[in-house]
Amino acid sequence: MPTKSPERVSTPRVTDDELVERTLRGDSTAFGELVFRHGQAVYRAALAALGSATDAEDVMQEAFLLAFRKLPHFRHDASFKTWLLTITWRRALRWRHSPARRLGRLVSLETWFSGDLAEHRPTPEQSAVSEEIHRDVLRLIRSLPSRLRDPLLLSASGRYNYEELSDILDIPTGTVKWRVSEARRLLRAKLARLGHGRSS
Amino acid sequence: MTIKDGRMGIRGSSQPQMREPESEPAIERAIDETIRRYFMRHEPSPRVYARAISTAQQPSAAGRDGSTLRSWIVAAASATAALLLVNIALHFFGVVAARAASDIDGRTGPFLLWLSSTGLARWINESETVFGYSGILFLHTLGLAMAVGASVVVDLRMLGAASRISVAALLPVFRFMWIGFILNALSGAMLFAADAPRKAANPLFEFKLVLIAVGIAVMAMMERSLLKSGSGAALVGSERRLTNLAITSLVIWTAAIAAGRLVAYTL
Repeated sequence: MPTKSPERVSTPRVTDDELVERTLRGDSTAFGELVFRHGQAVYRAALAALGSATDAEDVMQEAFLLAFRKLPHFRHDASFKTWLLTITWRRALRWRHSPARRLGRLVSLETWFSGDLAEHRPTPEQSAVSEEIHRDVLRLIRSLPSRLRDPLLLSASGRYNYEELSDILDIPTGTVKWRVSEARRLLRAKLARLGHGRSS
Repeated sequence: MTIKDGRMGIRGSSQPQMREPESEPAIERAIDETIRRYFMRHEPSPRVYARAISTAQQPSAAGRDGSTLRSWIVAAASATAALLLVNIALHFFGVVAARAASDIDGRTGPFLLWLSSTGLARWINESETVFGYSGILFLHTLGLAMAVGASVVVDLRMLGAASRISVAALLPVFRFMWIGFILNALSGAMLFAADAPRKAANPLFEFKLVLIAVGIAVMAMMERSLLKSGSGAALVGSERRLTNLAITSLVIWTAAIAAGRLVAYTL
């Protein structure tokens, strides 16, 4: 399996649509550029849905594979990025709900964000109080229902705007905003009960 | 709010033993910072990008895109097949086994009679040392533990357990599987020789052998898939297949152990 980084030939001025056209004409480097451009957004969406770096890598790979196969059917109704993220999200949700993954997580006793908590190493400049908040926030995010957790994580990841989230999650923009707001309100309330800040 | 500008400690100054509550903006920042830090800590490596590109552009990539539905159809079919086989075996056993004890002489071929009368078979049956029947039974159990235990380790890894362990690191485990299987086969052959006519007449025993054969085939297929993936364990496109194999393996070995125990109690 080749693992060397593919050559990047296109410039940032080339649009996604042009890269798609070049890919469809058989330019293999054009698809590579699309992967480099949107890889992080795809990975973060998968990570938000699954909470596991290993699973996110698998879904990222599957999403690009699927996008490459479906590229001739891409109708430009939405941007390439939105189309790609919609594919990614559907793959991630399918994997999240699959019995195989549930069984795997059961036997591995893995929970959402568990790897992050286990790997956490506070830097010297980080105060003990703030570390405690971060730990509590992680735990409380994990306990949120997925309909609130997903928009919150995606919006806070810094890679998507509300319109894109609306397309990815297939819900109205207003609903996305409400869910993000509701997730934050719940987190604040729960954090207040733990002694952080005050509930509004 | 009693605390301004996100600064902490004002309210708690009169109660030094209690944690000082943070302001609401500080909490908001903590939420954002926690999520940002999580995403920053997990970034796809260049290797993942390269794999995504090369996988998508391989000519055979289209045919390797497995689906969860297909994965579970295979798993459900395997489980159903195993259960049906157990059911059929038990049904046959109910009909045949009752006649087996009284009908052994009529059903037993000359080879089985010769096998059970060899010096080895007599020694296994009659030896009063720990190296006789009980020693061989111990080796059979040890082989079972090695083969099935190692297989279960690989199966669970394929299903997501201990995901931080590289799949390539599991390849040496297959050596233990094969050693366990050889030990099991040799000790099993000796135990069979000690009671060949009765065991051969038991349909559950035949059923157990079929299950073992399938289990070994699944084991070999998994090893082959992992070897093909290379030392980098780039299991591109084969994750679903390996998941299917792992589920099948778990079902088959469970059924084989159940059948083996039933054989011991139904002879």
